[in-house]
Amino acid sequence: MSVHTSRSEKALDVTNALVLIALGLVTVVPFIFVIAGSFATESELTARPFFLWPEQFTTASYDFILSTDTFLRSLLVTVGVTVFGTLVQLLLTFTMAYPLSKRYLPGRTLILNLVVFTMVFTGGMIPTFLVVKSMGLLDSYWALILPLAISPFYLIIVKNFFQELPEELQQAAKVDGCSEIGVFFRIVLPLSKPVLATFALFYAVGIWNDFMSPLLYINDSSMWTLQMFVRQVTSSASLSNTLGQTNLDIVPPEQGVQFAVIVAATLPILILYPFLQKHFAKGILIGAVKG
Amino acid sequence: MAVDTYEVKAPAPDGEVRETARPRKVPLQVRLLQYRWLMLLLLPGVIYFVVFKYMPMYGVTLAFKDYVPVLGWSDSPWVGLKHFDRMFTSPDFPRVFWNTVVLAFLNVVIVFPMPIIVALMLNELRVTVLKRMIQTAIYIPHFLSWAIVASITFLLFAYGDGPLTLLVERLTGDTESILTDPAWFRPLIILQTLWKSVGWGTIIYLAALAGVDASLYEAARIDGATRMRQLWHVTLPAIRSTIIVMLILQSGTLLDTGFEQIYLMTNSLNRGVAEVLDTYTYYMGIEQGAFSYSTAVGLFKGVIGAVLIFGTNFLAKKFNQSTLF
Amino acid sequence: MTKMSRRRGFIAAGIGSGLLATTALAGCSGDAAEESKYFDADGNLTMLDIMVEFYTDAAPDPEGDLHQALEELAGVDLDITWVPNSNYADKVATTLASGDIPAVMAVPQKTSAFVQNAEAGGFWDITDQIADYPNLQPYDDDVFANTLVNGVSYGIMRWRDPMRTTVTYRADWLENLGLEVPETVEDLWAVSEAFTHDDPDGNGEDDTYGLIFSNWSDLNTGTPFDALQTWYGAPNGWGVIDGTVTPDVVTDQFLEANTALREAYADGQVNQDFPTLDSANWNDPFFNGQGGIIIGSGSTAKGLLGLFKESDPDNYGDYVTISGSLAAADGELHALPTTGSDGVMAISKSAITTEEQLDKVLEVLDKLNSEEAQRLMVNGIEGVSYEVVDGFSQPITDTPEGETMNADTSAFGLVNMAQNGRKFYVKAPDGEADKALVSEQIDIMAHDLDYAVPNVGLAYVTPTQADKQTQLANIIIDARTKYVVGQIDEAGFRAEIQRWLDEGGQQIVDELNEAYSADH
Repeated sequence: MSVHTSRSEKALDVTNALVLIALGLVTVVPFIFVIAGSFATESELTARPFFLWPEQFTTASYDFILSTDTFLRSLLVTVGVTVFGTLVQLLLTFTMAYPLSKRYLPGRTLILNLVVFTMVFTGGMIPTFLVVKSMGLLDSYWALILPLAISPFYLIIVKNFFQELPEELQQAAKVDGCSEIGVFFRIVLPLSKPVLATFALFYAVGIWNDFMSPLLYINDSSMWTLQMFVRQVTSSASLSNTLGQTNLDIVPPEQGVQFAVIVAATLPILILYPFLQKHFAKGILIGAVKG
Repeated sequence: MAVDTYEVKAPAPDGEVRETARPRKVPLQVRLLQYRWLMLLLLPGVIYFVVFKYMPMYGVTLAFKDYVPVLGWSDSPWVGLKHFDRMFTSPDFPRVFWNTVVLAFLNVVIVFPMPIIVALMLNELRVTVLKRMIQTAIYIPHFLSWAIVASITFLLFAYGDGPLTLLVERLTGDTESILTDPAWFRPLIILQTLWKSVGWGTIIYLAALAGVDASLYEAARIDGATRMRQLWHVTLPAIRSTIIVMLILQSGTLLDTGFEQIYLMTNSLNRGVAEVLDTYTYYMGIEQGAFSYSTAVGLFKGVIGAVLIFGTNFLAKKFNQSTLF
Repeated sequence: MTKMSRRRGFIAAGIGSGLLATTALAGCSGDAAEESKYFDADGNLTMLDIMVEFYTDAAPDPEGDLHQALEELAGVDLDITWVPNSNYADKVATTLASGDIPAVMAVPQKTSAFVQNAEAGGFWDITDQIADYPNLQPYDDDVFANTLVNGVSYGIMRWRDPMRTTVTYRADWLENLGLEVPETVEDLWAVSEAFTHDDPDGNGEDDTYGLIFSNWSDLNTGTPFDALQTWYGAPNGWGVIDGTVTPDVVTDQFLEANTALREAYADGQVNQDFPTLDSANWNDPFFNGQGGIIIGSGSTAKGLLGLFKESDPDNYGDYVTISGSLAAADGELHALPTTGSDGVMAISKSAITTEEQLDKVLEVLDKLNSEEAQRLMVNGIEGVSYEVVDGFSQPITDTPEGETMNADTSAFGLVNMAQNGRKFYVKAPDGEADKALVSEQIDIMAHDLDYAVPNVGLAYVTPTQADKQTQLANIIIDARTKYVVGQIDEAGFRAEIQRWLDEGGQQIVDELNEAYSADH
């Protein structure tokens, strides 16, 4: 094929690559600054507004984070909740999406309309809090998982994907004596690996970054997730204002520590991407041309 | 490999049509029995929506009450449309609503297409290693909180010595006060949103692009189509349904301009253009304690969202495009 | 097979919890089980839950020595909900609105939500009860009055220094230019001008300015704006002028102070980016030798000293010097005080339902206000986390126990109330320069306290304030910033102040005058 590649197409390829490289740089440079800052001394951070390499290299910020068990504990909690929560979310989303992909299912349109309705219409933070409370989920890890178990947005996309699966395979399995549940678990799910990978990533990142749920539902600080720790360390913004109000000489966390916490809280979930990336390559197609 | 062939599909196998036509004549209980396994699969999800999405919806009654926490939800007095009256007569509301609409519009015309464009560009990139590196790089910002994004923005656009302020100065010849100038507010917000979300947004389109049948390109090449023509005639039609579904889904949340980002970028000098429904509800609900009023504003937003999402879906159906259902 | 059974179990759980939720919502409040949470069968208080904000990076361990010691002292189990300071407002709003209120809750500010709730009977009025408890006697009537809501006490105040306004200057710059530490606002502008135009760092370049301001501009919260306005003679928020309660914004002195700031800004004496500079970062330009004056508190000066200590351990004391409030041009001193408290600890009526129960709770709070409890919460345990040296506490940080407990005290300090005055030890400064700074500061604060301008509006929250406070405040905050940076002129500023009056300000003035004259 390369034989036929014309000169102008080559130029196009090069331009395309350059633009993308520029885009990649623009997105990583601030993150490199955060990483560099996490290894810099406090006076360097105060004196130099922006740099990509610290003049004086120090791991003091990381030593500080690791000096108490707060960071490691909340990291463990977060990993646990994320792994388990993602499994629950995937299971609930996929089991609900599959029947909804069958156009002949009674009540399907009504349910879909009601699902879409919840995307724009919510009871709000406080009524949701009351429901979670009345179910006895306060101070339980379930509170971080169940209230967000199915994203209507993702549900619709997964449902559309199932709609695209060739019906013939499923019919054949049914003829072989499989029930619909058997078809779902033996035929449909194995076919859905790329979609599972994509939504595993979406859900996992959602739980990982969730900050409001632990704030509202978890009072026991030993059960807090990483994001609570990140928030507490990085949002010193309002701190010095309030410093005038309280009497305590509370020193806001150093900037280097803030950066280190961001890096330490981002890297674990970032690592997930390359692992899932190879699954995306197999592709999914969503949305159906109306038949 | 054979497993992956499902992506190659002829539009709508007619088997489905037969399926929809048949059950109409069958009594409901028979149909329920027939689909009992599907119903069972559906059940956990339905319970989830009932419990966590529909039960809290009694909260919207607050918009028609004067909520006094001590009296509780049920005993607070009904006040009819008082809060909506206040909303539509408030001197702030028209401005806040307009600001929200303008940002929503910019989000649709600028932010929405960008992940598609970048995904198409990445798809054309033939060097796999480079492609993967760039993909990973552009999705990093998704993990940084708005607080970090805001502080980086403040650094880059600082008055006088911010690197990007200097760049703008070089280009326009003016010393701009970018962070406080109301004219710069929307460009800044859009720029931040793009920076943070474009890479992440490409994931779904890249997945869709990977599913396009390679033989279609082969055929196009044999016909002598250039890369641009292949893009136009093969790639785009193949992911059109994905784009339309994403557009419909996002139309419902058009007025959600995001709270934290805007809140952090608002200051005394740009508040006139910066205040949007999300920040307004926050000020009224959390800071001012006007729970009922902020619920009314939220309800208003919900009604518009519902109209938009069901409206666009209806239009898509009408023009024979992919729909949500 | 296993897949199937697991899923069935999950479904069953889902249905079960769904039903549970429905019944719970229908049944609503008035739960009998809730009552026994706090009291045993004989009516003795056994547990108290407290919601409080914290600033440190980790909440104290409930099994920690400090928590245990405090429980022992209080005689009850303490269930403390630590809420990250950055989101305390969200948590309070949800807590209030959901009706799920702990027995004791820290209320740092008299927000509208709190006032509406308290006045509707959500929190105990303890105005009359506190007389029965020795440790709950207010140490100062004026400060106590500031914590009231329209004459009613809804909680035990959290003590703080009544006077904190401190101006920090680059001492080396004053030295280089042969200038004295300012005493009046005129001196301040003279120094600011010199810092801007006379090359105070002697590097031959025009790269310095005087005042460092920030975007911290909320009304009457001890901001640099508040300080400047008060020094010029404007009321501290609300003052009595000719028998009428008057807001600062309508006075000539308010305009005068902001006009002076406007002129300084136009002359480059104030950082041009102040509307976006976060006050968390305002130490940076001072440390980097760009700006030379910060109007803040003693903590600001201490923080700056700490920065220089890291970069120049031998001479760090030569960079920082301080003054208190500055006299007006006519030589008269109007010092800006704090409210004297960090809000109150309020007792919820939904948790504590009867007067008898309230007495039991107040007994515990009385114990928590004792000298012993104050020292425990702020200093820790003597010999473990601190030693007493010359009446100061000297923290012990070289043992693991000491380190942990000192971290815990930073959080428990927010639980500390001290309604009848400070009885804990102040932390000993380490280093000669720090000692000098602290003792200078103690003198300045004692002196300024005699000239404090009280805010007579603090004791009231009028209906219009409860309804519109936030929106109205933004009108003034925005207009003031625009005026200072030169986006609007004096007529424009006055027009905005008029808008403030028209949209509800005048109503507040009327309501406050009515309430005030009823009390005096």
